[in-house]
Amino acid sequence: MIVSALPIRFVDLIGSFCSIVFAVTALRLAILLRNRDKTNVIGLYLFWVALALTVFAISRSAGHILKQLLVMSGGGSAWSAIAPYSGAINTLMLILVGSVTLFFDRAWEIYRQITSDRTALRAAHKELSYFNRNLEERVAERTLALARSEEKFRGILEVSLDILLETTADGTIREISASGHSLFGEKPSAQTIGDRFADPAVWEEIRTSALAGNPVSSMAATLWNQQGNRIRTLISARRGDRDSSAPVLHLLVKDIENRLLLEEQVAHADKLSSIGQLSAGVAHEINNPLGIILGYTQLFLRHEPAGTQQYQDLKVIEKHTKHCKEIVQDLLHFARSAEPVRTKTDLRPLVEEALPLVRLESDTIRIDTTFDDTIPPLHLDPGKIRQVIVNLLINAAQAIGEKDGTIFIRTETADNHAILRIRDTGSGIPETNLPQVFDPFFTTKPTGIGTGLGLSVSFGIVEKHGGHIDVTSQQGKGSEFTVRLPLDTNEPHEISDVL
Amino acid sequence: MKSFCIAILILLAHALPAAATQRHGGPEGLYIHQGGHLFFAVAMGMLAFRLKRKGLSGQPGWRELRRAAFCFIAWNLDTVLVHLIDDQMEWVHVQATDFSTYVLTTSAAFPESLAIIYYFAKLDHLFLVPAMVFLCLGLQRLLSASSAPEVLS
Repeated sequence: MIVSALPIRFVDLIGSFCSIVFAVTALRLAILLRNRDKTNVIGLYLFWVALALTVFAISRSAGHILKQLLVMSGGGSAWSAIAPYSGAINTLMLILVGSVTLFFDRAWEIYRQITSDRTALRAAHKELSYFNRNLEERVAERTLALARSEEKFRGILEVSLDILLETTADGTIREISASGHSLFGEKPSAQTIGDRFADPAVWEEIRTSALAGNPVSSMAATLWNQQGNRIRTLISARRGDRDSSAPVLHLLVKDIENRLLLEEQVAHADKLSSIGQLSAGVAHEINNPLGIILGYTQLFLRHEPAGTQQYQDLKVIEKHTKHCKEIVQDLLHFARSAEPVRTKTDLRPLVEEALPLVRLESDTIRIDTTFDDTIPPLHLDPGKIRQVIVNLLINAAQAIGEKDGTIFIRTETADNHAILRIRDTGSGIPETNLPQVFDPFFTTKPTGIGTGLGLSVSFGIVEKHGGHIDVTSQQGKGSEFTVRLPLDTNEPHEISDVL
Repeated sequence: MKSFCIAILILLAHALPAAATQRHGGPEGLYIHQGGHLFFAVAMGMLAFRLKRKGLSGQPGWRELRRAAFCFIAWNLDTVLVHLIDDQMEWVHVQATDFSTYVLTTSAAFPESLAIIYYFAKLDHLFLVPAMVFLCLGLQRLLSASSAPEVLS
C-alpha cells in the first residue's frame, strides 16, 4: 500500500515542537506553584512530575525533530547511529515519569497530615493568642470572684453566733470564728479546746469519734468560758482533712446557755402562775371565814372583862386569826392580778426609806450604798416597790444574822433598765435551793420567822412592773439579788427634760 | 545440619564454568522500551484512579490533570501498538521511497487494513500534545487557585 508520508512527518515535527513548548510551560507553572508555598508537598510532587515530563518531552521530541531534519537533508545513516541513544534516553525518561507519578498517594497523605497539623496548630495558636491577650483580664476576673467568695463566707462566719473552729488532732486551736472570742478570749490560737471542757471525758469521746471518721452531731457538753463561767453547749465535730498524716478537726460549738436559762425561767414563771392561781382560790375561800372568826372573837372580847381566862383564850384566837389573815393577804398579793398604780417615782428615796428597818433588824450590820443619781424617775407603784425592797433588805439582814456583815446596795442603769443590786455577806443559799427561792412557802428559816412568801410576793410585784428579779449566791459568801425595772424613755417628762 | 553441609560441598565440587556477565544482544532494548511505555501508562492509570478515589476529580486543576493522565494512557497504548506492529512483530513493513511517500507492506497473515491502522497510529502526537495541554491547564488552574487558602485540598 502506497501512502503519503507528509501527514506523519508533519504531525511528528509540529507535535514534537508543541510537546517541548507545552512541557516547558508546564514546568514553569509547576515552579511557580512550588514557589508559592515551598512547604507544600503536593506542589513539590507536581514540580517533579512536570520536570520529568519536560526532560522526557525534550529528549523524545528533540530526537524526532533531529530525525526528520536528517531524513529531509539525506542524512538517514547518521540518524541510524543516533537512534539507539535517543531511544535509550526516551526509555529512561518513560520510567522516570512513571516512577515519579506513582508517588502521588504518598505525597497526598503527607500533604493531608501536614494540612491537618497546620490547621490544628493554627487553632492552637489562635487560642493561645486569645488566652495571652486576655490572661490578665481573666486572672483579674477570677481573683475578684475568689475575693467575693472569700468575703461572703468570711461574712457568714463572722456574723454566725455559733463558734466554728479548726483544731489539730490534740485539740489545739488553729482557726476560729469571731464569735469564739467570747469563749476563748482575744487570743484563742494555740489554746486547747479540751481544757475548756468541764468533763474531759466528753472531749475525749468527741475527739476519738471524729478522728475515727464518725462525725459527732449536737453532743451536749459544758464548757468553761474565759470569765470562768460554765456554759452549756451543743458540739458537732468531724474530721476535716483528707491527708491522714496531719489530721484536723472541724468543730461547731453552739452556745445554748441563754436559751436554757430562758426556758428555765419560762418554766419557773409557769409554775409560779399555777401556784398563784391555786393560792388565790384557797385564800379567797379562807379569807371570809377568817374575817367572820376575827369579827366574832373581837365582839366577844368587847363584852369580856380583861384578865379572865376566857379573855386570854379569846386574845390567843384573835392573834392567830390575824396571823392567818396576814398569810392570806400575802397569798392574795402574790396571786392577785391587779395592775400596780404607777406614778413617777425616784428609786433612791424608796431605798433610803427602807434602810431604818434594817437597823431595827440588827445593829451590827453595815450598809454600803452606791446610788446612780442619773437614773430618771421611774413609772412604778411606790408602795409595792418599797415592799420589794423591804423584803430583800430583811432577807439580807436575816442571812447575816447576829454576825458582823455588810449589805451592799447599788443602783445603776444598763440596757434601758434601772438596776438595784442588794448583796449581803451572809450565809448564802445552797445551789440546790436556788431554783426554788421564789416559790411560795419555800423557806429555810426557822418556823415562825418567815412564811416563805416574801420573795414570791416580790417576784410577782417586779414581774407586774415589766421587770425581772434574779439571784446569784455562793454558799458561805453571800447572795446578791438583782432587780431590773424598765426605764420608760417615752414618758413626756423625759422629752421635756431633754428639751 | 551435617548432611546439608555435605550436600553443599558435593555441589561445589561438581560446579560447571559460568560466564561472569550475561550478553544483551537481540531485541532487549525494544522490550524494555515497550515495558517503559506500559509502566508509564499504568502509573497514569493509578494517578487517575487515586484522584477519583480521593474526590479530586471534580475539582478545578485536578480535573484537567486527570484528563491529561487519560491522554497519556492513550498515547502510551498507541505507541506500544506502533512499536508492536513495525519493530517488534514486523507485521507491517515500512519503506520510504522518497520524502513524501511510504510503501506499507503487511505480512501474509494480516489483512491490508492493519496497514491503515498502523498509518493512523503513527500520528501519536495527536494524543501526546493534548496531554501536555491538559497538564498545563491543570497546573495553571491550581496556580490561580493557590492564592486562596487550602487550594490544593
